[in-house]
Amino acid sequence: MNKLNCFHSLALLTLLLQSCQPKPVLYQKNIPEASRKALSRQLVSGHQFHYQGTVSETLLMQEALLYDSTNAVPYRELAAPAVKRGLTKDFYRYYQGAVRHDPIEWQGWRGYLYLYFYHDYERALADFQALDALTPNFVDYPQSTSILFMSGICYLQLEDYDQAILFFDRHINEELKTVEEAYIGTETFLFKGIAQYKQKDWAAAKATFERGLRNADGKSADLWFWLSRTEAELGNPEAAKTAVANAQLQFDRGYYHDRTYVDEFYQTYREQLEDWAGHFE
Amino acid sequence: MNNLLYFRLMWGAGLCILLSQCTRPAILPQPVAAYFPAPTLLREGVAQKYYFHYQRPGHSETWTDINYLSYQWNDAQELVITNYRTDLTPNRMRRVTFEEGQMKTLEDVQYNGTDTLRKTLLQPVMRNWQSDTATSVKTSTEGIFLDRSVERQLQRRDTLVENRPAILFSGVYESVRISDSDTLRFSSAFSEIYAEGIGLYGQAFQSDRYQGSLELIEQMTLQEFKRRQQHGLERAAFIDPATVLGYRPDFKLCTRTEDIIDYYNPDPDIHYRGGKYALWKAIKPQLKTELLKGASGYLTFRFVINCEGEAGRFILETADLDFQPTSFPKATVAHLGKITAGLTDWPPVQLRGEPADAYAYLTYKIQEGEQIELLP
Repeated sequence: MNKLNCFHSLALLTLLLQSCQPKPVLYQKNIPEASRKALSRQLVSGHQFHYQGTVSETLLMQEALLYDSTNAVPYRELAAPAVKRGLTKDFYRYYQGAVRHDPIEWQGWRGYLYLYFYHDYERALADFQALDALTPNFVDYPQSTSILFMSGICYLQLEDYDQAILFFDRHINEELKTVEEAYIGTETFLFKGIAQYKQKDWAAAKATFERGLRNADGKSADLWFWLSRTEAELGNPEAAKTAVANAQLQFDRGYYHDRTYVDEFYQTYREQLEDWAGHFE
Repeated sequence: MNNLLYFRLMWGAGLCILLSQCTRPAILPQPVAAYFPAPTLLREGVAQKYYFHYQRPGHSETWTDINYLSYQWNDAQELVITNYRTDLTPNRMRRVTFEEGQMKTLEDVQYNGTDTLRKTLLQPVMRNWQSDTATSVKTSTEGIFLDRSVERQLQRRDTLVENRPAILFSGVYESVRISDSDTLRFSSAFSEIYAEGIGLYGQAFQSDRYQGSLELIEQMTLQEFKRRQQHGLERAAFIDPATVLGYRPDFKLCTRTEDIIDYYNPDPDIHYRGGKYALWKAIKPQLKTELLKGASGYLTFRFVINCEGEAGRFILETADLDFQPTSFPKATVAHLGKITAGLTDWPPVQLRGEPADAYAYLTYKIQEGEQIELLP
């Protein structure tokens, strides 16, 4: 009987093995090592299909990193919505990855963000200086903004006015190599003048604000406002009154500086002009 | 007796295993069956991941996106084909049957958020495995638009992909979108490969506007796909209404949570009325510096502004001045939270003239309980 059982068991086993198909093998594409970096770049480009910060975009960037964890751009793409939405830790974490893998491309951009979104002037300066060291004999323009100009703002905010003026002058001189003075943004003269104002060098501040206004054909509420404040310090209330009236006029015409996503440094506001004008009534 | 029992048990168990584990008859007819996943996979459901590569004329750059598709055989003996977006949410479902080599569409539904668009099928044959030609004609109405699409299979031939037998279909796709004021036409040539054991292996499209191709990356069980759908991700800035701080419990959205836009979407951006100057004027008189003692870092309140200009759904986000996780003294959070929730001069949110809701945030940058800046 034992032999019979053994025989039947073997027969059953054979039958099972022969009559059952193997479990279907699931398809898995073999992506050659040589093409993984290119695929990562393509997936990054695919962010154009999606609104920034969506789940789809996040998953796409994670996929790009799977193929090339040294690709800096997915980190930057993941950081960008965090910056704009107040997710401070995520900005920092992701941008660290972008700068680590491509400092020439992204260190200046991070400096820009430290400056405008976080008012972290020391970190911004450190990034601008590090980028400058990586690209000697060349002035970088991360986010289309000169690092000389942004360094000037950092020093202005750190109350190192001599350094601020030095950097704004370097920026002006650098720009004058390729464009006429009228093409230099009014903010440069505004901020340089404010640095001089803070030093209580009223005459120098006035000259700088007026220089900026000449370049801009008078179309700058910000420069008129700070000229008004300087005239007041110089003891010229009538000139101050005229200047603030000009500031209000230019403001109403839309000639004031502002910035997408964040408020500008020394941005001028209508109510601020009204309050200041009230001093001269 | 024991031996007999053993004998019977062995055969009984074997029979059960045979019935439950072994091959069941094909569920799709030939010659179609060979070019779809195995019957066991179709019954359990199988999902496939694709890369969609896109190129514009005159541009060398390729944009690649991720798409998914699933096959599942249903109780009505139909094949349900579902397409999914990059975020693994469904965007299209078709029910098809197979008769004499013809793949016929019974239902074609598109999903856009919570909206469902069902197409009217005028001619249902998508593909023909037994001859060169097939025609599918569909119409649908979406708002002011009437859409009509025609897909013609013009050729079918045998081929090989990765050493697998496959069928290559090619044809043309034409669509027209008609509104009261305009008629938009689009046409493209397509080719499509169904490979043994896989189903849709790849597609290619060519039009005067773009060229695109679909490349199969992997197959997975539907169970695995469903696991991946539980990724737990939300869009950046999402605020879960269930976890908000207690301010403004009566706050109501004008739209839906999934429709909330970002503060920089409208033109101009949403700012506190009067900008940071007015914001400071509102905040400064309320600030009690003794309640900021021991606080340092970025204390951010994220919230939603609705179409009435009311703020609600407040949530806290904190980081120290080195951008690392931190916590703030409870008194500081309560104090600044009360001030922030009490700000009332937000402009009503509109997008293209329609009522909208927007995510916004306000950050207090505090250094050693003293220096305070408002960001952004």
